[in-house]
Amino acid sequence: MTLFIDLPFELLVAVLAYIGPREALRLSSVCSRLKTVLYSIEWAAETLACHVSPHIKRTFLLANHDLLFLNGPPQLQTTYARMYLMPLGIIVWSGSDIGYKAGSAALPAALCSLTNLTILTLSACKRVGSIPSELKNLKLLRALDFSNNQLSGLIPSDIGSLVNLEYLILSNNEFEGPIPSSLANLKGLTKLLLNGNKLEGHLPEFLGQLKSLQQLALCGNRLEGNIPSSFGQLSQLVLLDLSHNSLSGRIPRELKNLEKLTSLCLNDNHLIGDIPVEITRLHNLKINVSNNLLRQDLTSGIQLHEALGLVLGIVLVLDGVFNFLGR
Amino acid sequence: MVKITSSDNQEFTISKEIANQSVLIKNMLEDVGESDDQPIPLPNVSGAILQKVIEYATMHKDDPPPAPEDETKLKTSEDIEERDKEFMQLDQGTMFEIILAANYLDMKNLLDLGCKTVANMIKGKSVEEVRKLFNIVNDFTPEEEEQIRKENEWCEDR
Repeated sequence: MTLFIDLPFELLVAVLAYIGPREALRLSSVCSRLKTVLYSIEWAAETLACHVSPHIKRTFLLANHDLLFLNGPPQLQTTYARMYLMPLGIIVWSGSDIGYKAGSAALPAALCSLTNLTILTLSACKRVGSIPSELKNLKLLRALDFSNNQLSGLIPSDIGSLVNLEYLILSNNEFEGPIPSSLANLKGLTKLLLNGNKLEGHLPEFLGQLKSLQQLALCGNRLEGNIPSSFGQLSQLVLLDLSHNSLSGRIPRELKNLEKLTSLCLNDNHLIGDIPVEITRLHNLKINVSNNLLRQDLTSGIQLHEALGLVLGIVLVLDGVFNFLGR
Repeated sequence: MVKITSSDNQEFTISKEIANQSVLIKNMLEDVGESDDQPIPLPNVSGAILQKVIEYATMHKDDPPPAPEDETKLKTSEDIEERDKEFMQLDQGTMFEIILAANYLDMKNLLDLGCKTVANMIKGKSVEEVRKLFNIVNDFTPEEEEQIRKENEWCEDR
């Protein structure tokens, strides 16, 4: 007697394509033959043709069927990318949009084939693992945002070849190692947010050459060493947040050149010396230098403010030699 | 009229309009020409199955020609006609043989009907139920099975 499982591959594909892709993929654990079918490029093409119209009126926001791309087997991801995502110039996907509860998975390798993208956001989409270096194929990218995932490993130096980048946002992941020196190529960067990772090493001098930077957040890492005086060249800077690292040395006087700065967060480091008085004269600047080893007298009229986004009941307690902030 | 013979040498005489529902036979007839009254051998199909296939073709001989495929329309297994549903009330072995025959004879409608019918049998069933339904032996180690189940855990979250 002929059994279901004895049907030729292409007929199993045809049968299983009629079942919804997610329901069918559940059946991958039935036996190895079904798994081979469901993890094939043939089934991927057929099931998408049956269940996701190529003419869906789609936007750049995360839709329910995009989970097939985020979580499906690689063959399904590749086919999905080719059928639905290839023309898109913008992808802004945030897990919170559809109450995304699925398990953790890597960034789909097929992302790196979407060469029309100028904006790519995959935020809070439960991505784990590292950034594939093939991401450098996305030459048109102007904004890259992988914030609020669990991505790890080094920040690949290939990101430095995406010379059109204006926003690079990798906040709140688990990246480690140094800030790659290749970022020096990204002369158009206006926003560099690498906060909330495990980045190590010295604060690189070259960041001072990224003269378009308006926001630089490196807070909540394991960075050490001095604040380079080159940061004084970042004349467009509005936000500079280096708090919650292990920075030491003095606050460079050159920061007084940052005339557009409205928020300077250096708190929770090991900085010593004085707050340069010229900095305190900058207009509209909120400074937080609490929890350092600074020496300070209060006469310069410094206003100490809470770090961006943190609401702290601020009480300034100065014992004349060391400063610290009582909360 | 056209003569065809099954793998077990049963001979069937059918009208041309019925024969032409099989693209395979249609092409063969065009190749050999009108005059030839030699039976066409179909070595991949048994007499019993050929009988059922002819029954299906006879039932559908007056169907209008198929509408051109609408690219925007998604394929579904929920659009089976009542008479076809009745036709497919068969034991599994016969059903799969008919699917194989439809594939060999190149009869798209019958092949689609077969695939849809099997898909509808699978829908809504758990992994264990599908194994039982089709007598499938689980050839994974428990570790492999768990790994695959994990990879596809997101599918449960609708």
